[in-house]
Amino acid sequence: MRSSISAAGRRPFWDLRSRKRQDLLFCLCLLLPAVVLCVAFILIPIVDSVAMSFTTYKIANLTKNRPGEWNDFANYTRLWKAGKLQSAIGITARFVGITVALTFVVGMTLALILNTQPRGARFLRSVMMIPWVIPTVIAGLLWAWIYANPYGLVQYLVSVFTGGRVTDFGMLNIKGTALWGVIIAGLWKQVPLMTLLLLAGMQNVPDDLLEAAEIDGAGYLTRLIHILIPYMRSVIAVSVSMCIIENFKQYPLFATLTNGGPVGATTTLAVLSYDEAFVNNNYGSGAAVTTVWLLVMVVVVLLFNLVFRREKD
Amino acid sequence: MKRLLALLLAAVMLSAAGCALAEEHAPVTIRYYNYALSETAKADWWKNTVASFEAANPWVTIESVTVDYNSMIQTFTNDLGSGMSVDLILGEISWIPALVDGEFIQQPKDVIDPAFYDGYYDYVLDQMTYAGGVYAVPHYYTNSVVFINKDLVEAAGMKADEFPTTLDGLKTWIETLAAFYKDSGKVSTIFGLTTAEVPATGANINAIFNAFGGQLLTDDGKLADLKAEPNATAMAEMLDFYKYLIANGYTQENLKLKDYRAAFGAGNVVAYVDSSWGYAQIGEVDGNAANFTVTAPLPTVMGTYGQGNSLVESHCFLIGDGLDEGQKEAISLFLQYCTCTENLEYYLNNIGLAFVAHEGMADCPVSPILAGAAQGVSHVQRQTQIGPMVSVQKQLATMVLDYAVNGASLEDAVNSYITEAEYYIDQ
Repeated sequence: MRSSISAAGRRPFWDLRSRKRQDLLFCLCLLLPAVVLCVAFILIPIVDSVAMSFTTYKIANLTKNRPGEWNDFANYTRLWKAGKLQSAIGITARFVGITVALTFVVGMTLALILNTQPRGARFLRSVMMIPWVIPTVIAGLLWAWIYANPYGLVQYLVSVFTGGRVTDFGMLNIKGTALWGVIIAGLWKQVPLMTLLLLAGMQNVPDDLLEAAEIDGAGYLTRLIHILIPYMRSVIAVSVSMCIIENFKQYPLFATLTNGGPVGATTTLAVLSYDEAFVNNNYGSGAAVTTVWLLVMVVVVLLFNLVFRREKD
Repeated sequence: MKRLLALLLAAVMLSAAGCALAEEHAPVTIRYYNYALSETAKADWWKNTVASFEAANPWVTIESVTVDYNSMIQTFTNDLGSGMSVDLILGEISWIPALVDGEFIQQPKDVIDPAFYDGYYDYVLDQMTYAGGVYAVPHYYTNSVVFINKDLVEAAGMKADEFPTTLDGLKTWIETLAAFYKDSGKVSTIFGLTTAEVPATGANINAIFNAFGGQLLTDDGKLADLKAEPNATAMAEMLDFYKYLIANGYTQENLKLKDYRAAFGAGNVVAYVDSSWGYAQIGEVDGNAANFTVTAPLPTVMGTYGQGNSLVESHCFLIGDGLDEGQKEAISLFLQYCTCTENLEYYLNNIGLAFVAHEGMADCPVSPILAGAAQGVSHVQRQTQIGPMVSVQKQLATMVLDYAVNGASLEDAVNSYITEAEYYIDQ
């Protein structure tokens, strides 16, 4: 009888009698559904979208199941020559940068306050969840009313604080302020989650360490910078990464508040992609914007993680 | 015995009739995409109309598909892509290029009974021409009309039926009313023009540009020379008019038509410009809106070149590609059923006010609300249809906001518009 054990005493790879091989096979079987789903619903659509971005692809291609025609990067060059891509990248970067920074700063401040267990902290934590649980589209509509000119709350407050000199301040109608209008609405929506995540991380910092530092004479700022924040590093990394991604793909707030206007002042990559694909029915061009959008987002998240890891090292 | 025989005879006759009907018409199903079903005021009328048509034509089943107005084209695309059929669509003229380019629809002349097809008014049908063919038939049509709150005008000591016929007269009219309602706190808008950056606003501004004597597109579908006369003057005068209205608070910046409809229905707007069927949403806010609503055409003399020209808008039927003969016959019958005085009169007078587009309905009375604006339909201009029409028109709103709110110079605003419009046209 031929043995499947080699002269060196090892069983060949295909021999399933080995315990290790059986475990490996079992692991692969368990992984298979996830891998299939990821390939089918994430990888293939991304590859398809990237391939589409290099072609002329319009409605008839979709409905008649016709492949797009290769167009020598025309979707990219057209968007670039018109300045739309650069403008959208710039606006997206500004929106993401400002929103993420402010969300983190405000979230951290609130978390620090709540961590001191002030009276009514539990109640405050519950109330804070309200903006987060409201659907973004509804939040957008609420803020649209708040910003409305001339009957919105913001306009009223501006009128009061300027002694009635400014009575027609339409925040979303002015190029210079429209993006800030969306940023404020975004902060209102996202700060609660950031606060709660940071608070959860904060509460895992050992009290004895903080007390020891205090006894050794470390001030509040020193404890914050040298103990609290380093201990919260992983929570901060996850929550800020989530915040970056959330804001990169932010579309509902822009759709309900400004629709990319006024005069393109809030046309982010998300808005541009939608407009090209579903307003102009040019799916190839929309896919080109989406590809750039994906690349920019991946690069930013990678850079963030790289910087964070380097600091940790 | 006689009774039994009579019953037997009747049964045989009924059965024979049923067989004859079945032989003449095999059962047919039409998938009808109708965004009006998502609008309260129109939904009941459509449901009743479809039900009564089906009762009269038992071999036809109309499978109504309710879709959101803003995502109609995406819905068709997805449905067709997934193998479903789109047989009939209630749509708008601006959708025609996208649907033709998408190879969704066919020319109605190949489907509708020729005698009935010939009855459509040429000047309405002409607006539905794209790529050398007529790709839709109107259900009814409108142009831009001025909705006026009669009560508010009369309270200021003016007559609602004496709406100005010149631009200067209009400004005086607006200023008089603004002075009267200055501190009332009740009136939010004296003369509303929509400027939100959405497709419906773009079409509205294009109509205003036309009223000033301008023409946005050439007959071959290119952007007209906006720096040559009469376009240059028409554009400058139009933009100045928007600036005048916004700067003085006579109109509210960045509002959509639906916002004006709601505010008008609530009695907060003296007058605003809209398509006649905007009344459907006014009526939803106040069921008695007919008591205070009248209409007028835009002034005949709008600036240097305005001569009372107007653009046609229409809710129209678009017919899907790939129908069999039975479906074609059913659609032909259904369109005739929907476009007759008996069935449409109530709708045109009480729900979505509009003008008839078929000579077979010449006897259909015009709604008393719309009577004032009726004289404005005599100078209808042909609008060339192009694929990126929605974006090209939407950019008009961007230009207006750029000039009237964000302080761009006339030259910069127009140049920027030309760049953007050509970007879409040349794609």
